[in-house]
Amino acid sequence: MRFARILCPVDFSEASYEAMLAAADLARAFDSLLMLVNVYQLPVPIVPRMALDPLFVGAIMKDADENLARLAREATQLGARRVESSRLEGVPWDAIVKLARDGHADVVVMGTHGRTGLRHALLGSVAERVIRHAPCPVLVIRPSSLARAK
Amino acid sequence: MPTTTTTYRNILCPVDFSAPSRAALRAAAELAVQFESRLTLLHVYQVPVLGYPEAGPGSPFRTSMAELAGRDLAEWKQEAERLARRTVATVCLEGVPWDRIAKYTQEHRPDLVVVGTHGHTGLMHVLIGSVAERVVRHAACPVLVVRETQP
Repeated sequence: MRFARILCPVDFSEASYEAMLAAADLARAFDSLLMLVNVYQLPVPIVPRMALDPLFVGAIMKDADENLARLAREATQLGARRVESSRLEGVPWDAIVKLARDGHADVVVMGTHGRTGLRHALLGSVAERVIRHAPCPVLVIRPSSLARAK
Repeated sequence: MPTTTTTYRNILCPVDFSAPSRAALRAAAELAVQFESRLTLLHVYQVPVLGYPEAGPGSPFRTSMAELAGRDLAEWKQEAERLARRTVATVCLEGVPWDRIAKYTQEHRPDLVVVGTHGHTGLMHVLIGSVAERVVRHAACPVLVVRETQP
């Protein structure tokens, strides 16, 4: 079992930051390719004639790119020699599973919780679905703040 | 320069002697080699005791379940030691698997749990649930969920 290709989905939450740290460590140990991916969902216009303000979308994209670059830099500093980052629009759990399959990931490293969702839930819905449907092992990282509460 | 924050000094691998467990064991052993970790195999066997006085404490039934579990675990310990190239500890407990595993992780605080999943979906998942998912929910440390390796 070689962890040569690591997929690390991030949403810039506390848990996904800690997942990046774990992924970077694994990448260093196994000299892996670390793929950081941000899957985002744009709000759907409610009224037919309503359209998303391009400036608003542009701001989200710019913010995502900056955050991705920051995470990639830190992963590199932690010893991950090959880091690729990308973002795409989609239903998070579904996009992550597809990426794992199409990208031939050996492992998915992700947080138990994201930025949205219920704090008191023991396991977030995206992580739960990825665990269930991923074609490869999944390493789930609980954010320290929630782990300490146990 | 940021320093490493994750170290897997102690790895716990709950096993039920199934194919997914074997995949989990291989992953755990691989990680133990890379991170020079201590590796512990945990097996929890469940004795169906509702209304059966013959399965009470000290009964031959219960004793033989413990012996069978112990024997399988000894075999898996040998395999684990071969793969991890180090001595591997084993723990054999009786109880409800997911609950016992969760309590063990809370008491012993491993740095990583590596567990296999049968990958049941749909109705099977609803009925049987998933020990792996319950371990993820209740563990205070990272959990690596491994599925049976595809041929």
